[in-house]
Amino acid sequence: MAVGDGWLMAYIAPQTHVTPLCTIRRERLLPVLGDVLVRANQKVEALDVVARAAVAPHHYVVDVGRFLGLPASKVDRYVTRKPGDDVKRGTLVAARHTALGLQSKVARAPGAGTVVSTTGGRVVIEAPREALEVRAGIPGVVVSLNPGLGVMVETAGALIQGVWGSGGLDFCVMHVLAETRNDPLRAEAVTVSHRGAIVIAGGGADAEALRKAGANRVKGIVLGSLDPDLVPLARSLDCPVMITDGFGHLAMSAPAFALIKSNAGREAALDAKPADRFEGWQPEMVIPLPAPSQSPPLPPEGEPLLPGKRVRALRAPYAGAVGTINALLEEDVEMPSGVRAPAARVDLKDIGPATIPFANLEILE
Amino acid sequence: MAITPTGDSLLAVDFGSTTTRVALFDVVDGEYRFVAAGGAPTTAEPPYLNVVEGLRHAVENLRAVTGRVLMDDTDKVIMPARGDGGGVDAFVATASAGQPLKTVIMGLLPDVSVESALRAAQSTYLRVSEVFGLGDRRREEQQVDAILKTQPDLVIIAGGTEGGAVEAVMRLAETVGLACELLDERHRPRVLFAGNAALRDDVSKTLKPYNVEVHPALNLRPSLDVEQIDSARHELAALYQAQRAATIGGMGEVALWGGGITPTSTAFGRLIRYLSKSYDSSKGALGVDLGSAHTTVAAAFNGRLSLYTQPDLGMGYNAHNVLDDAPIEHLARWLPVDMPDRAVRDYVLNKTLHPNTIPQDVNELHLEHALARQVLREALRKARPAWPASARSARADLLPWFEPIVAAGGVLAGAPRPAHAALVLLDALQPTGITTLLLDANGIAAALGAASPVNSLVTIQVTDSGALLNLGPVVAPVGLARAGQTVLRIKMSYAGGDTVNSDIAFGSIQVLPLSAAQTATINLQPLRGFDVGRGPGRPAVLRDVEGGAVGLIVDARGRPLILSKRPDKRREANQKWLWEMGG
Repeated sequence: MAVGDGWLMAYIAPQTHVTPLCTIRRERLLPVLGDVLVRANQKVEALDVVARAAVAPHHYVVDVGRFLGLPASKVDRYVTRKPGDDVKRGTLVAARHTALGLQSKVARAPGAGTVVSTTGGRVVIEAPREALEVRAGIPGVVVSLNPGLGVMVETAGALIQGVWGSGGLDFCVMHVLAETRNDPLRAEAVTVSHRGAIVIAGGGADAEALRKAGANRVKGIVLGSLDPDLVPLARSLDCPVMITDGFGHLAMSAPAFALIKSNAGREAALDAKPADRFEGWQPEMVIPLPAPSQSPPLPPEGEPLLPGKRVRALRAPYAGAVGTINALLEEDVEMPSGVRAPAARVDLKDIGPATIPFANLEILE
Repeated sequence: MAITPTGDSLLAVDFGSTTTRVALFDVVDGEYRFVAAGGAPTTAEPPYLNVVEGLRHAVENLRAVTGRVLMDDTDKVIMPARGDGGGVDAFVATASAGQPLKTVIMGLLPDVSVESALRAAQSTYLRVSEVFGLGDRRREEQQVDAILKTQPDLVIIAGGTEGGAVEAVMRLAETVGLACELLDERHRPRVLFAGNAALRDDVSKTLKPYNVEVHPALNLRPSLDVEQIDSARHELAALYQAQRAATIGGMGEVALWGGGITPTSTAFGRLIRYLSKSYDSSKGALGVDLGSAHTTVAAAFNGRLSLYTQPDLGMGYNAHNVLDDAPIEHLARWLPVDMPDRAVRDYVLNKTLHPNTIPQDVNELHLEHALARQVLREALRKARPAWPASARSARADLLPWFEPIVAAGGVLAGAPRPAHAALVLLDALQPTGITTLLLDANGIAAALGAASPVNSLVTIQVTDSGALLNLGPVVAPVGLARAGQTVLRIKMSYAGGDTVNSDIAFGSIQVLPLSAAQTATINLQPLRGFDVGRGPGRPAVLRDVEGGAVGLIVDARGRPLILSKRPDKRREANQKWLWEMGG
């Protein structure tokens, strides 16, 4: 069966981008309606706030009927505040004077805030709002606005996507602290000179190295892999941490390490927001590069496996190995495990030819 | 009188979390038969955001097998069938893809209405984020803030028996109303009301000012001692469909072709309910569906279905959650080879990162099947409390008698040999007495359930035709003995006249030859008070027993299965059992 026929098209592979130069567009949206703070075509830095909303952290519900001793349907006339009124703790929100005005029953605000509802026999007060901000994430140009919610930012540069992120975002210079893609982050390699930088190593890291990086106030850590025991520590650091290949002791993929190393010393935006498949989000590092006269292409998406594609093996025995598809095999292949599956012949760098199930490959470009 | 098919062909699609499967059914020699299946990765998520893309690839895959053109140039399924053999006459769709619906449950008594609402919620792909009942000590404002924080897709309000509580139920509705008033209009949930029926209109009126859709269902607990869950389950399936159609590209279009999209778990449950009525009525029917993101356990007793879906536990996207429920040793105990706990944990977490992957080498296969056992055990443990107390079993702590047991899911269907899948099921479910293991090797179980309202003949005739792979009859005697002691004598008389006698030792698994093409009469004589379902020590004669892909499986390892505490002995036993099964 020829390449391009139906069933060959049918394997839509997952994709991770390790791209030396492409156009990168990222949508930055508030989860609730707010204000967009930038204009179309405006240049922004990675840490610029592009949209802001105010969100009430909590509410107070005053059951006016209970305070006034009335059914809910009869309290409206006694409510003294209206939506939009600011109140302090203890402010009267409803009062009912009994016969001859000798006695009164009142309801007061249990905390400061703004009245948002007075229906149903209740007064609802929202506590003072707190700001919720969305940053540009990458330095670039605002190419479109989504009124009330956010923007689309575009830049040109190198893109390295990871598989796991601890959360957080920062933008600063990169220091590569490994000679090879196998070398872990070592505590002795992290010094005070890395303060304010993203430090990068090929393999994993031990707890001491992570703690030292935290103590030296690095602004980001990128590793090939991470021992799962260290996930809580990585999350507790005051900087974003991204891993590129997986959990355990995996080297960083050769293309990712080479790309990072070739750009060492440049500034990069590290966004370690955890992966979310429903949003199509993977943590990533963007290295802005001078744009050529013509915008580079967007990274390819949704491509099928085809001969010539650069791929990464996702699972043993070749986990992490990168190579090029030589051929898509016409018949299902029985693997050493006994599982039969459609497979490809892949020329793996430093390993040689290997037969790998489609399901265990992702396109890396 | 025999019922004759009308000649309609049927195409079924199941949009799973990772894989979109299509299956074609048509009339062959006067009866419906499964023709072929195809699959492709699901494209509900970015960058595709449209399930039709994956469907098109899966249908192309099917075309490569059958030569039938089923979709036109505009990516629509061709209906009705054309004279040239293209197209189909009917189409059904099931889905489990997409995010589970974020759900808040509000009820009164925790062990009455709240429990029933939770049970209803477990019938489909809902993630229950908050539960409020009378025992909840949070003030109303805290409940409102919790709802605002959750931003649920769905709120289930239950409580009040018929003629019972009024004010307490209305307070629940008012709390929901207050939260909806404060929520952005885009984020207001749908509401399922399954409480005191007298309050339906009042609840709707309370929520009407906030443009909240209220969907009524029959009261989950019309009285304290009666639970009626089917109506709520039906409404939840409809709400699931509506939410999917509104939020996943292409789902709305697909729903129009076949008159809706049934949750995969609902369709799977329908098949199990059907089987519970068509097999031995003194036993229940059990089904397990091991998906990438979800695991479903369906148990039906005389047509009464108990459906449990765990939306955050599976073999792929949600594999890591198995580590939250049990220590790593619980997973590692199923391995036949020595592997550090660290490697087991790395495997589980990396499987979560790359959920589509399949085991390429033998150790990875062992890991995958160990994970499958543990996921099934966890799901079974959580599903069991909802099963009726009247379900017959040898002992209350053991699995009730079931006939048959159906297993679905890619990890089992894709096992190298039927024996691998069978051993995973024996270890994980630990069936008792006499049963039959059926494997959904073609990924059609949900399709058969979904087809039943459209064309019940498809369900009946395809199921009867053996489209579910019969792994074999299983005899699992219940009792206690020392390892090596004979606990069961078997005499198997083949239809051809040959006879096989076998003494079964405690602690062993034996497979006696009984292929899918053979039938036999099997005489079982339990010894030492062991029970094969007829009572301790009582014999059983099974006539015209059909064989299966593995053979007659006799699992005399004891129930519950007790694994050695010594890792080396345990590994040795796991390996021995695998060999004994032919894996």
